[in-house]
Amino acid sequence: MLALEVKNLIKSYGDVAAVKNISFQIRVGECFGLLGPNGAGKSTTIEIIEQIQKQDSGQVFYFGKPPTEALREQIGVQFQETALLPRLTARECLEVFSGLYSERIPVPELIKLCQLEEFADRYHEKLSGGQKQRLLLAIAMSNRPKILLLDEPTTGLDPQARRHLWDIITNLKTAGATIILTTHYMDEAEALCDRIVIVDHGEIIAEGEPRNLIRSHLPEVIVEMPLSERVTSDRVKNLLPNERVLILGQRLQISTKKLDQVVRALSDAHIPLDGLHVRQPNLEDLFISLTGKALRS
Amino acid sequence: MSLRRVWVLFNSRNKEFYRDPGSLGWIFIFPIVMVIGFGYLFKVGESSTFKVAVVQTQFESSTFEEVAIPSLEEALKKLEFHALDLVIAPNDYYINESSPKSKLAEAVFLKETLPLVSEKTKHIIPGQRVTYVDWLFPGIIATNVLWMALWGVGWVIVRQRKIGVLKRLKASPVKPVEYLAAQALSRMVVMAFSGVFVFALGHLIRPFHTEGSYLTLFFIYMLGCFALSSIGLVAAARLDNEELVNGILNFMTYPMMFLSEVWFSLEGSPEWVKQTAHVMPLWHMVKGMREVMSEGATLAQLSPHIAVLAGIGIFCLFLGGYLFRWTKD
Repeated sequence: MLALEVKNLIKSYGDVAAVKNISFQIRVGECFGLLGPNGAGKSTTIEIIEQIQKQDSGQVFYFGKPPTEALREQIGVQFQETALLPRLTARECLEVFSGLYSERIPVPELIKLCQLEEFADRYHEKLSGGQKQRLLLAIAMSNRPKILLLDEPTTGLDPQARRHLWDIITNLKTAGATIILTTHYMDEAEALCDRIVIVDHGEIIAEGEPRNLIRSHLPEVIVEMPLSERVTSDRVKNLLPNERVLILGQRLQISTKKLDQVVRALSDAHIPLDGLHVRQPNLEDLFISLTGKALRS
Repeated sequence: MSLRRVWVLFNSRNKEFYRDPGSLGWIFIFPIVMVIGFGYLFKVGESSTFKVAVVQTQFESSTFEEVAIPSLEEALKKLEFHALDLVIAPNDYYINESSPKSKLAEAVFLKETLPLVSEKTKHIIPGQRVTYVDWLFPGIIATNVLWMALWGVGWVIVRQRKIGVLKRLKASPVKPVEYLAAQALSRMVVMAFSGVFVFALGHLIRPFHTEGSYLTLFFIYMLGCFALSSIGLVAAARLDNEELVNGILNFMTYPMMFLSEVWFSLEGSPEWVKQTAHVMPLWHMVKGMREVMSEGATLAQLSPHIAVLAGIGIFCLFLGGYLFRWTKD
């Protein structure tokens, strides 16, 4: 069964086209990721789904039906940038927001679920970034939503706080929630999402399960090594004319299906192999191969 | 409309208010300063020298403080409101019979001018039982309310829109009317407390004469608060720029303050000025309070003011609700 269906969504701000004909479907219980760089149109898309913004054309169906007033009772929302009512503690924020809905999770349960015990009675203005994101997630969940929409829930957090939030989202997934999240962190999408779409310049450029997408677009492994006087782009390109060689900052990247031949060729040419690193391609590599640019540029 | 949601938002706005030492202090310290100023004014009004206006004639005396007022009409108005104790004209002199000080001034005047007195004819004008200070007090209370209502409702909503609070609420089932009602109600509770506080404090400094019922006085006060808060809702319906709303609120406040006979009477002003004043909610609020305090007006007698204030309040409430947008676009 479909939880959400987005059909031919278009939205412009003046002359700038933010979303150009985006369509996708999300099944009940799925964790769906909208990926793309800043300004790709992810937030606009998610805000249209949340009915915060109006599309110029296209439709959104929730459980097969067009949106109604009652829909707001069924969705939980975490905005990328948001403010809470001033001078309330974390617990009071939860009480206020859950008080606005007819169906609600008891506040103590929410506090436990999102691990807010430590700072529940602190003013929300005094919380750290990670604590605030957890509070916002708890608020988004307070009405037992059928669809949870998270717009860049971990942006700006330190690695530990991100992992913490991932754990909570993973628990929600296990409990069967339908989740839509936007992110520009590829590792986040790989860790959390069952299915993703990659958006760039307001258009979908790839769609599928993260591993399948990588396997179909990037069957190679990736060899990385630091650039130096003896390891130059021209030298490596001459040595390996049939492989894809990229320069990313101070590193050289070779995508290949024949790892042993590449290593032998480098070694035969007396290129030092210190710092050589072989890995499986990830979504970041997929994005680079699809768009020719790094995701967080 | 869900009363539970109104209650939840009303409570959260109350908490925001009383946990902010700045705004809480402002609501109570500002009136204290005003009342102290008011007490000073009262003291000056009660000074031991007699204030006399000498109109179109000569009169010199060390006992009297001469106040320059060119027109007899204006001088008599001041005499009526106890701002003067005696008015001396070429052939007449005027006293306020309800003022003991005025009678005393007459006695001194008669003694000093015994040789001339035969040429002057005595006139008695019916005095108001209120002094200028009594007259001014409702104006002070109303000015306080004017700021509290317009900024406490209008500016606060615009700030919440700007920082994104309203965007978050838009994603919830809250309806605009519920949010707006909560904002206006919370502010009215603050204004109710503040009004009672200022009145009681003023009373401590100098007991007022209140001819009518306190309940009627409170009713017309709260109705004024309601009308002004509703105007705040209209001003805040769409803006997300605090500076702009500040300007708009100032633009509304000043004419209202000058034309509503808060500090001085519009008696003698051109007719169009008086007519303009009659569309100002503040004028009806101040006038209504004065009528209760000095003339003992009943609800029935206040009905024109009640009708205008309720009308403006309800109209602006609906207009504010109709124009309201959670976010700018």
